Amino acid sequence: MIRLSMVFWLAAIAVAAIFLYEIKHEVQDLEEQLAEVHGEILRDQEAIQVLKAEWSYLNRPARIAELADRYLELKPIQAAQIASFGEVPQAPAPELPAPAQEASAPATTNAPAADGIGNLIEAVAVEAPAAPQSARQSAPQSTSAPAPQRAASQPASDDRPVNPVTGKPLPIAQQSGGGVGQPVQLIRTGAQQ
Amino acid sequence: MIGRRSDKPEIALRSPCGLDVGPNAQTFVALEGSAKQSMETGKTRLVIAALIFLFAFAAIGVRLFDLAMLTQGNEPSLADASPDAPLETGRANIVDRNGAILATTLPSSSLYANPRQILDPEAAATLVAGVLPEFSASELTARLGADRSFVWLKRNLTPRQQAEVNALGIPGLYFLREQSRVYPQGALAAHIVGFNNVDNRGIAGLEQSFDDLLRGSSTPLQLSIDIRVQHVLTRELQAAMQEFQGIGAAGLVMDAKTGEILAMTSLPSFDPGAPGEAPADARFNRATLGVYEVGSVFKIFTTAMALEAGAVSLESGYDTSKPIRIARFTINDFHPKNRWLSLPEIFMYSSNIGSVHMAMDVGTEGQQRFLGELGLLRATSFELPEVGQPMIPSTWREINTMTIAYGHGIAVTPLQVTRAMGAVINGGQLLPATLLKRLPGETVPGRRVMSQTTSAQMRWLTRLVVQHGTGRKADAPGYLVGGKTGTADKLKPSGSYDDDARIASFLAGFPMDDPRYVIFAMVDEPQPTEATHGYATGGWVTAPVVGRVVEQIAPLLGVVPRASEEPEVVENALLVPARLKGPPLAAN
Repeated sequence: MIRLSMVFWLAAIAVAAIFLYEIKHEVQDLEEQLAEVHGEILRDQEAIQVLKAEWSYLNRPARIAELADRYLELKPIQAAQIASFGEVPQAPAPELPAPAQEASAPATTNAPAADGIGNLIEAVAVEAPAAPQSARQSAPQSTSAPAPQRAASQPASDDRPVNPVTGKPLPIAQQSGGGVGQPVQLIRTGAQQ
Repeated sequence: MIGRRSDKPEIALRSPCGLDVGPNAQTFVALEGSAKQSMETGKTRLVIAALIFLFAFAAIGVRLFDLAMLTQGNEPSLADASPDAPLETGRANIVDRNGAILATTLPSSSLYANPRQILDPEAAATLVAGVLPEFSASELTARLGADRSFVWLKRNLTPRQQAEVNALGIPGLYFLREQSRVYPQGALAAHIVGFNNVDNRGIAGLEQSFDDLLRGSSTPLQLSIDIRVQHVLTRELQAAMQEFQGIGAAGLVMDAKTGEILAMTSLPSFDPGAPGEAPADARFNRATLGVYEVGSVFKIFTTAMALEAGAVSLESGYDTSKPIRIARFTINDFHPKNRWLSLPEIFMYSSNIGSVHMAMDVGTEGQQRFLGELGLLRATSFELPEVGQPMIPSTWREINTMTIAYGHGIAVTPLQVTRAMGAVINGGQLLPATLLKRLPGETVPGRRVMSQTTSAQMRWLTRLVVQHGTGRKADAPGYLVGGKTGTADKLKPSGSYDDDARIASFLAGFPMDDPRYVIFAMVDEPQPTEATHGYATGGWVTAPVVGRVVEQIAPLLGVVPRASEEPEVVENALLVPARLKGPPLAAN
């Protein structure tokens, strides 16, 4: 009994000693690694310091100005080029009903819905034939001929510009073109303080 | 010790606790007397020892239990590692208000030798001189052959030089890792940042005044300077200085609401990395250390003083047809109109005579007090060590009052006039000028030196100068620049004024409906050119500088351009002083 427990404890001590030895070496290794990493961090920080100085050197305003003169066709902003949001003219409201009348059922089946504007156009296009007759006639576009017949005689894709990639009709705003007015250059100026 | 022993002592093996461990369970020995006593003592000792060990093991057990079971939750799963200390460079960076580095410290190597370890000084000297051409072999032989154990050879080698010296493989040469100060922006902000000596101690500029702070920390020192504004100001001043062949130039841009200096230039400048190679003239800071008679720029302060004292109003005027004669001097106008001029006209056309009348109406004492309140009579307290002491008359006579009215007979630093102008246009608060960035929302300790009304009137008057007067070339459309030209003859060493050497300056603020920034530009000894029809005055030399600077920095600083000019000024109401009354002035 005594022998057995003695053997057991001796074995336990041996295991513990080996385990401790292993752990100790592992910790030593890790500490070496840590010191190495610390050294690397310091070296990197030093390199960052050097790079920051170089970055600052390369970003000297005089050099940037020279490079801009040589490679960019930009000039200092004139006061007249700066406008506030209040001065921006209102964008014209898109005239949705006009193409909707022409693009009826065939157009919707051709172009599967994928984007928001496409969905909107199709939604209007689907609704348009189902709209009450009086409502359609009150609209100025539909006074000449009933919409479904025009749509049947003329495929919608011929009437409207089509996105060459997706084959979907383009948004109306692009089609209608003008009316945006003079382009206004917006320059956001922020004081960096 | 005498005792009786039994004949056959059979001593049973016994455990300390009395359990039999041997075969003779029935046998025991009875001892008596001193023998018994020593047995008892031994027993007691054993018990005590056992108790001590028991206690010790119990304590260890308790501690083990405590560690293993109770404190599990609190034990960190990772070892405590002290966070990486930031890189110790020995000297903090100096950065501009947006973080662009103006001064930084980089590691470098310096070469030294231990001559006692050098076997053949001559051979070593020849080799080293081949790599470092600034040394001659004979000079190096002398140094390397000295009977010492330490000799500096060269501080702050380039990495290439270090590699080459290392490749020579001479025993007795050593590198010392050092830190060297680097100024990435070069000469751009040299006078502000200053420079260090070879041991990295600041000996000029902010490097000197914040030497302890910079050496004691690694947090960058953030300045109020905006390097972009600094560049624009420097470039335009440089161009003007070249065009008019001036010998120097100075300029400042100050935030009128906080007193922060956004740009401060003194030309010619120098490379702070090699200050020894620059002439003393280049190292001289004209913006804060130089004192100048700034001429008509002072009429801003004279007019403000007269308005504030109530000696004149905007409807007042003076007869400027007759020159003023006092003692041996005659005071004339540069652009004589020879008639009665209203106060706005006096200011617009920069009439000396009118300004002298104004100053005389206020009086010598009033002038002294007012200029003193504007901080023009004493050296400004400023972060830089290079701050000039203004030159003021030792006894302030009437003639001094007269000449000072138009900026002669008093010499002040550009920094002083810029700071005073800030007070004139910002509503009357004189703020301390600073090179350090103020925190947003920080309250700036100001001192009221004039009323809001006077300040508003001065804004209107300075705007007039740019719209219709001598400063028309300073106008930047949309930014409502207002300012005053100044042209002062320089004093000759003999003490009389030199007609051919002058200082052209322009002191301005913008935008005048909500003044944010003060600009001062000055060119020393500009020469007239053909393009300026023989003029080298403030209106021709420095007013265009201010106009161009405003045009370029206003978008950078987020000043929104005004869509249209103020209509009441566009009308020529100047000759009808009565129309100058009322809301437009106060509202401006």
